[in-house]
Amino acid sequence: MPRLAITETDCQQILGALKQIEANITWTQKASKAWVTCRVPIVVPSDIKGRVELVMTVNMEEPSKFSFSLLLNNAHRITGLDVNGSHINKCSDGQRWDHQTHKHSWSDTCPGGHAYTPPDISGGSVEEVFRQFCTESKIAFTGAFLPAPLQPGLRGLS
Amino acid sequence: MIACQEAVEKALEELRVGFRCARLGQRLEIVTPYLHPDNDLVEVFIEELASDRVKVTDLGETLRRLETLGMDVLASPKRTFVVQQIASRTHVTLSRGRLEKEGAIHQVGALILDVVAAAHAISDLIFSSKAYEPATLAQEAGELLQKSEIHVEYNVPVVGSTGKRYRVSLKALGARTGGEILIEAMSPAEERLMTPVVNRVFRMWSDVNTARNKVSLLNDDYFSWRQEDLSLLERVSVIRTWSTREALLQYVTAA
Repeated sequence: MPRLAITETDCQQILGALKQIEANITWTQKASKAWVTCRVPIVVPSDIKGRVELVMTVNMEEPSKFSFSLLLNNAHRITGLDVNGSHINKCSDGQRWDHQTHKHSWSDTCPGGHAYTPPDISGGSVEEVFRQFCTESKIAFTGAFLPAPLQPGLRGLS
Repeated sequence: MIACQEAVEKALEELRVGFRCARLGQRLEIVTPYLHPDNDLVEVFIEELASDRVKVTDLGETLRRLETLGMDVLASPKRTFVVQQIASRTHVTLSRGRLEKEGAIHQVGALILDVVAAAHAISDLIFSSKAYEPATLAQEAGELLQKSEIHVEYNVPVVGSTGKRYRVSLKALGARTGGEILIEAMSPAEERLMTPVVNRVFRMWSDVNTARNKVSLLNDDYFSWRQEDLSLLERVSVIRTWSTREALLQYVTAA
């Protein structure tokens, strides 16, 4: 049986490399969507083939829920963070998260389906979590962070 | 043999412990035991409306999740249509990217299950993305050779004697003499494309310098190649099959 196009080794190579975000963090809000999105390119070393991007989304109606993904070629999630999400490690240790922050990692035995509680993510706002995520993922951020345009009166975020 | 009643009760027991609920401001947030493709759990929210009615909604989480994975459903009319088709099976509506269904309070159980069914089916659209495509035969063959410390290049440009330009899947440097070996990975997208692939590769090998080492590498895990096609390819190249990939390795190692 053929394997998936991306492997754990590919993901480790990208995660382990020193990377950079030079762009500013700005958010796209569309009337047709209940969430806002930010997508920025990540500068990677030349030995990494393909386009790496960070995609971030924040639910506007429940802004305590937001997610980040490090995507390769707009398809392969190298790693991803779900803040206040729910998950079960059905194909590994059975651990469950209910409305709790967890991070997805890619493994050959459980592609994208394994999560763990990231030890270095403790922030309360999108910006704090973003900066911690960058540090944890070896991404140097040199741009400016513009807060997500959240509806007034909703809790929790910068 | 287990009895029907016991089997159903066991399943219901699983559901009972699988559903969790918490108040989130004015809403109830329900975590269900149903899985998205990445083993995140499907969540739905209940909002009270006037006159003993409720709205069950995913608050846009299903499509937000997909966008975070690189699939912006609402940017594509075709995908939006597919999502609407899926949702309509359970009379769930799509509004500002949210999957929603309203009804009387006493229907709340059915409303939850309908929204969950739609969310679950829609999130499976990610399986149609590049993320879940298999590695190509060229990738796998390249890795096999690289594991034996053989230098490999992918998608190599080659010019035929007619001047026509081709792209060959792989170029390997023979382990013994360092000579170049061109390897074309032949793995059609579907069975009906086998003959066009053979025709293309036969033409390419016929046009490319006959002195070069040329290998037609066939995916025989999924396809049964016809003898007449093999005979054609044999005139212009060495044939190796993926099921006996050690022979490919031996050929490159000996070259």
